[in-house]
Amino acid sequence: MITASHLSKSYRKKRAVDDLTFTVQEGKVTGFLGPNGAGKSTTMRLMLGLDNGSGSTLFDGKKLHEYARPSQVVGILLEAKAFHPTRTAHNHLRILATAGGVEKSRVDEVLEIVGLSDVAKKRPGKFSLGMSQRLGIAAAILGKPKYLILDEPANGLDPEGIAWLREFLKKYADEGNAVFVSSHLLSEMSQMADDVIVIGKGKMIANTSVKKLISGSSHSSIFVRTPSLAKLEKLLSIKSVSYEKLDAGLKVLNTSTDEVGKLAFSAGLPILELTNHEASLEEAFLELTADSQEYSTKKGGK
Amino acid sequence: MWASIKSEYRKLLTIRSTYVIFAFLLVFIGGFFAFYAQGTKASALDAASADSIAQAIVNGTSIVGAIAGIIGLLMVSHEYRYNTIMYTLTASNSRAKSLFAKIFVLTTVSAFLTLLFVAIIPPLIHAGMSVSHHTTVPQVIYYKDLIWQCMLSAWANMMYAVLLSIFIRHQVGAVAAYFVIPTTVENLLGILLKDNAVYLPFSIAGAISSHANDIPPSRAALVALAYIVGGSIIAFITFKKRDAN
Repeated sequence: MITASHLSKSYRKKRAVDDLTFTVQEGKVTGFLGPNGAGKSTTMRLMLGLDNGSGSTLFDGKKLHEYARPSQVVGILLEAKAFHPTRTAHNHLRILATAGGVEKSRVDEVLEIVGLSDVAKKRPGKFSLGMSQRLGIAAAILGKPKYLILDEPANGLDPEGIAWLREFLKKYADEGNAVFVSSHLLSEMSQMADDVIVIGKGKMIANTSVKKLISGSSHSSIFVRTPSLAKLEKLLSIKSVSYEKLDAGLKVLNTSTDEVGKLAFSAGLPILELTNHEASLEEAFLELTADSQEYSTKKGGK
Repeated sequence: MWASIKSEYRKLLTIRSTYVIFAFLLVFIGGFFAFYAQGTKASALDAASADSIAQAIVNGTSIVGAIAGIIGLLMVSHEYRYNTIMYTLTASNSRAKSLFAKIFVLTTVSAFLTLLFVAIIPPLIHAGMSVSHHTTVPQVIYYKDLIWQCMLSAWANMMYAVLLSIFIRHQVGAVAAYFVIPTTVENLLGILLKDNAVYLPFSIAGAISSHANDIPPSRAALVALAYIVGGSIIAFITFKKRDAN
């Protein structure tokens, strides 16, 4: 388990990361979300000891520098193009393998896994962003680490690449590893992540499972259509269930289809339609971070 | 520790600039300076001097040291420019080890290049002279002194380059500083310091082998070492404390 405690970091007067405490569990993909400038990358760098700030991060109870081979504990991808442009992809990974005490045969293995075997001897300076990301992922998994910390790994990947990454990370987590991944592709994150940590302006906004985050959103609701609308409204008011009146029926909030169905049945009300409208992760995210947008556009484009 | 050192060697040997600089040194120092300028085009005065080859070795290796410093400078500044520093620091469990590995590797590179050119400059000069049918008077070369002085002088240059790139971290800025400090800053300070200007960092590094202002090589070496130790302490603290970007 990764345990991050009271991570903080300031740049002059600006608080980039403000007392973040969270855990990343094995066997799960944990999404790390936040608007631009929320402090996601800085948090990851703090966790790895690349930036100096306060707080601590423990990997299975030990600080990263307490391990003899840190790159066999944590694999990182913080920037897609973190390589020398004229050094071949193979040599880039050989260097990382040598530094991390990893067998050289593993280099070919990871190149195969990420689908870059054909360009292993090519200089990555002219790689597309997607190919660079794949090389970065190869570097991250080189030491077969228990933990992966990935910053926007899906950026620049084509749809096939994104699907591959999603399956790969889920499988990696299923093998008992922990994956901590930030992304702006919220639809992807909703399919990939089990848990989610949302930050805004460096502060913790939510730390929960994706399911709970979505179900807790005001955008999640029940739609109910009945010819006895007035009676149903009265029943909901008595039970203190909030609702909104729509043209064709009612939008019922903070409850389940089971509860609404039982309630209507007990009063003998006919139900013509009862559907669950689940908020998307995007809706839940935007709702949560509405006050934490560092750089936002004016609505209406004006 | 050994893993970090091996990795640093691999970094050095897998980029083009290392080979470009090495080829440039062979062509410029070996071919142009030793074979052509000191050999084929040697003046009668040079040929009549008993220490002309020793002097050529000192001059040649001082240029080798200055240019080899660029290898050190690039080795550090590339890490920041291409952000590979994050891999370097997370592969090792100590920033001190990472820094030491770099300095160790660059020290061996500096030593190798200096020894190589101490070894090839004399035969290249003789080969150049034989082409133009010149001969020299018997040469007096104190190899033992010459080697340690040239090696230390070149190493000091390499270390200055490394320290500058750790302080500045921006590749272009570090390269500019590496050329501007010895050629402009130290010359300007020389107007103020007069004879004592030889004690400025780059000047004193050169004085180890060139014996400028008749400063004993051991004293010049001690002063240069003092600069390097002082600079290394500051570099170590900044390397450890600053954010790795």
